[in-house]
Amino acid sequence: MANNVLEIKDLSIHYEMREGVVKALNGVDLALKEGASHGLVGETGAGKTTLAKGVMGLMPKPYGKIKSGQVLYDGQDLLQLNKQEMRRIRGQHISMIFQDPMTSLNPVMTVGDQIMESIRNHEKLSRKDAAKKAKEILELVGIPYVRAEEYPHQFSGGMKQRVVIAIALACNPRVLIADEPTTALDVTIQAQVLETIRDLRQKFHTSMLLITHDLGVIAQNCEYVSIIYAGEIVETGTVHDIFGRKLHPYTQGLFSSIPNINETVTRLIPINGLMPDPTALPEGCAFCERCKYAEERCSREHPSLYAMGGEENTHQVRCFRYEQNGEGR
Amino acid sequence: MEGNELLRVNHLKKYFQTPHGTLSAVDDVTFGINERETLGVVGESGCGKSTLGRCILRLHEPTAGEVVFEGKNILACDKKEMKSLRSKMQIIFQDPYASLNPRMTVSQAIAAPLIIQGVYSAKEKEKIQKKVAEMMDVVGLASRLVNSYPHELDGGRRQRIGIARALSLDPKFIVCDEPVSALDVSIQAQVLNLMQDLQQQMGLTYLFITHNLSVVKHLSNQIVVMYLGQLVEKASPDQLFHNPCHPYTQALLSAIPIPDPDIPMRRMVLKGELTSPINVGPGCRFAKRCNYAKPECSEASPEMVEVEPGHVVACHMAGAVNKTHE
Amino acid sequence: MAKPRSAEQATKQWSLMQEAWLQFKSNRLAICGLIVIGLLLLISIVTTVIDLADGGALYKQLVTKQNLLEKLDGPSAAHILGCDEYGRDLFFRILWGTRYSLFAGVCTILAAVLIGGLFGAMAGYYGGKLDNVIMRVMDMMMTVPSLVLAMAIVAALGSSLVNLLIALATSQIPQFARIVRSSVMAVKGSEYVEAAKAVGASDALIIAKYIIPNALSPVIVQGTLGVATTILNVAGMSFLGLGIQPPAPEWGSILSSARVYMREAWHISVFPGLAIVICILSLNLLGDGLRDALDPKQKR
Repeated sequence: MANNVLEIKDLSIHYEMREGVVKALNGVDLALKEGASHGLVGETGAGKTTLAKGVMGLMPKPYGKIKSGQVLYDGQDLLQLNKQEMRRIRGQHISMIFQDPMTSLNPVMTVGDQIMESIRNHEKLSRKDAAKKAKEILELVGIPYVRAEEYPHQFSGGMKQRVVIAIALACNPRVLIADEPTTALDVTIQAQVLETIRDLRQKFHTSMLLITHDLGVIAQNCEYVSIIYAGEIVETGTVHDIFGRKLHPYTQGLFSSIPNINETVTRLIPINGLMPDPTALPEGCAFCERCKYAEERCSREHPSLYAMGGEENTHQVRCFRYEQNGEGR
Repeated sequence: MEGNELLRVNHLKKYFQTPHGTLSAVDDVTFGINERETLGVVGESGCGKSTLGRCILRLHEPTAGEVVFEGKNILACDKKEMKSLRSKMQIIFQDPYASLNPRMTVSQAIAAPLIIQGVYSAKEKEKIQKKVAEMMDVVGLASRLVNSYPHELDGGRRQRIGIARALSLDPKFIVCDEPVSALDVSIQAQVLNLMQDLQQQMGLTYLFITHNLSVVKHLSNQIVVMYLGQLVEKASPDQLFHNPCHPYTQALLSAIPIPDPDIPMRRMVLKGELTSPINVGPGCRFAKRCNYAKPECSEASPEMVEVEPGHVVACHMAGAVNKTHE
Repeated sequence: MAKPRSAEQATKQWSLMQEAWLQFKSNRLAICGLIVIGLLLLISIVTTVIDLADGGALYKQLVTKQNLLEKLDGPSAAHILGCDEYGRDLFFRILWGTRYSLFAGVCTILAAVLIGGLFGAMAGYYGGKLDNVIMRVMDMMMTVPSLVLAMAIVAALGSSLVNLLIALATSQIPQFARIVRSSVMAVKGSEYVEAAKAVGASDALIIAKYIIPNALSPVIVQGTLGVATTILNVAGMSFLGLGIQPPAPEWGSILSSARVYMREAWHISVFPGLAIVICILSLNLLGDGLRDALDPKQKR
C-alpha cells in the first residue's frame, strides 16, 4: 500500500469572533496517499476551505486559531514550522488552486512573469532558464507559449484557471490542494480543465486533495472520498465505498438531492432543515436534527467513526447505526 | 399540439451597442410555452439566456420581435397596460444575496409588490400582514422570520423570500433565472421541490433558465439549447438526452460529470472557447468549434429542421451528425 | 395579536441601526469625536436660546462690549482665555462663535447634498445624455478651486452670511453629485431593483424606496467630512475678510484680527485656532467612525 504523503490528525480550527466562537473544524483526520486523488465533499460552511487553509498555514489572522492537531507532511508537523520554513513548503512541496481564477492572478503582471516568479521563488534559475521553463509549463496546460507575454484580462475564465494551474504546478509539488477549481466555470470548460489536471498529475505523480460540492466531479476524478459535515468527517473511504454503499444518512441525503441525468426521478428527496450554527454545535451528532433515523441517543452522545471494512478496509462512518457492524476507534 | 399556448416569442432580438461593435445577445429567437408547463433554457455563460428572460418581461427593451402573452403582443403595450400585465408575469433571480433589498425586512419585501400593484393600500396593514403570513406559509418560511432582514438569513431562505415575492401577485408565468445555482445541493433540492409543488398548486408556467443540465432535465417539459444568442436545438428532455442532434448539445451533454465512478465519461472535445457574439458574420455560429463543420457551415445560417416530431435542430449536418454519433 | 407584532416590528426596524451603532461604539476615537461635536452643538443651541430669550442683552454684555482698559490682557482668573484688542472676553467670543461655524457647515452641506444629490441621482438613474450633460457641468465646476469659486461668488453678490453659504455650497455640489451618482449606478444595476421593476414599480418609487436608502451611507460619511471642510473654508473666508463680518465673533475673523497682535498677545490667535482644530478633528474622527460602521462590506 502506498505511503501517506500528507496526514491530517485531529485538526480543530476555530474562529474567535465578536459574536462567538465559530467551530469551523472539529477533530478532522484525513490521509492523502502518495500519488492518489482524494475528494473532500461538503456544503457551504462545512469547513472545506478552512481545512485547506489550515494545511497551507493561511489562516485568517487574528481570528483563526488552531485548537489542536497535526498536519504531517513526510512525518514533519507543518503546524510547528516557522514562517520561513512554511514558505519553502508552500509552492515547492504543497501548492493550492483557488476557486476564483479572476481574483487569484495579479492583473498588472504578464502571465509568463507570474509563472516565472513562482519558479524563481523556489529554484535558483537564471531569468532566461526560468522563462524557458515557464513557457514549457504553459504549453503543458494547453496554452500556446506565445501568450506568455499577455496579461490576465486577455484570457477567458477557463484559460485563467489553466494559468493558475500552471503556477501551482510550476515547481512540481508533491501535493496539490484544489479548492473548488471548476465551480466558477461552464461545464464544457470544466471538463477541459479537469482533464488538464488529470494529465498533469499522472505526468508528475502529484497527489491531490480536491475540494468540491459536485459529486460528479468527485466520481470522475478521485480514488478516495471524505464527506465533511459541520466541521467533521462523517464518512470516508474509497470512491467505490462511498458511491456504492452510501452508509451515512447525510451521504444518502446528498445523493438523493441531486437530479441524476441517467435516471428519471419525478421528485427529489431533499435533506430537511439546515446545517447547525457553527457557533452552537449540538452536544450529540451534528446531523441528528436533519436525520430521519435519529434516535433519542443521537442528540445526547457524539458518535465516533466506526470502521466498516470496505474495498481497502478503510471505510469509516460516523453514525450509531453502524456501531454494531464495526468497532469504535 | 396539446395544451394551450400561454406565451409565444417570435423572432425576438436584442442587440447591445458596445465599443467593439454590435453584440447580438439574443438573435432571432422563436419558441412557445404551453400553459402549466416548464420550458428549460440551457446554455453556457454569455449565451444570452438571462437576456432572453429579461426581454420577455421587458426588463430589457427588445430590439425587434414579438412577445405574445395570452394572445397579446406585450411589446406593443403602453406603460399602463404593462403595469397590470406585470402582476401576471414574474421573475425569480439567481443570486438570493443580490435580489433582495438589504434594507427591507422579509414582510416588507413580500408586501412590496402588493402595494405597488395597488392590491392593498399601504394603510391596510392587517390585510397585508395576513397575506404576507399566507405567502410565507406557502413557501415554507417560519412565521417568526417575518421581521428579519435578508443578511440574517441563509441562501435557501432568501430564495424562498424571492419566490414568495414573485408569487404574491398570483402570477401565471414566471421566469426563473438560475434560481438554484447559488444554493447548496441539499437546499437546492428543497427549493426545486417547492417550485414543482407550487406549479401544481397554482397552475404556473415556468421559463426555467439554467446552465445545469441535470436540473433542467428533472423539471422541464421542453428544453431549448442556446448558443451565442441563438437557439440550436429544441426537444423534450427524453429526445434531447437520448438523441441529441446538434453537435453543441452533444458536447454539452458529454461534459457533465456523472456521479458514478464506474461510468467513465466519453467527452467530446470542443475546439477553442466560447467567444462573445460581437459582430458575428454569416453562417453557423458554432462552426468554428464544430468537429463536423463543412465549408457551407460558415456561409449560410442553418434553418431549424424537424428531425423527429417535436424535435427541431438548427444544423446543416443535422441528419449526418446524428448518424455518426449513433 | 396585532399589538405585540407591531412592537416587535418597531424594535426590529432599529436592528440595522443598532448593528452600525455596535460597530461605531467599539471605535473610541470616533466616540470622542461624537462627544465633542455633541458638546459644540449644545453650546450653539444654548447660546442661541439665550440670545432669543433676552433679546441679545447678554450677547452685548459678554461678547461685543468693549473695555479698552483690559485690551490684549492675557488669561487670568477674570478672563480665563484673556481679552482681545478691544478688551472683549475671548472665552465668551469663542463660545458664541461656535454656532456660526457649525451653522454654516451644516447648512452648506445640507444644501450641497440636496442639490448635488438630486443631480447625481438623475445622472446615475437615467444615464445617457442627461448623465453626460450633468457630469460635464460638474467637472467644469470641479476645475475651479473651491475657495476661488467661493470668492468669485461673494465678490459678485457682496459679502454676507447667506452669500457666503451659497458660495461654499456651490463649490461642494459636484462632490456630492459624484458620490450619489456612483452609488445610484451601483444600486440601479442590482437585482432587487430589477425585481421592483418586474412588479411594475414607478421610477419615483424605485428612487425613493430602493435607491436612496441604499445610497445614503456614503453621503452621510462624506457629509460629515464635508462639514469639517466647510468650517475651515468659512474660517478662511472670514480670515480674508470675505465672510462673516466683525464684530460677530466668528472664529476665522477673530483669528484674522489677531494676527496683528501675534507678538504681544499670543492667546488671541492660539485659542480660536485651537477651537477650529478641535472642531475639525472631531468631525473627521466622527466621519471615519461612521465610514467603518456604515460600510456594508464589513458587515457579515
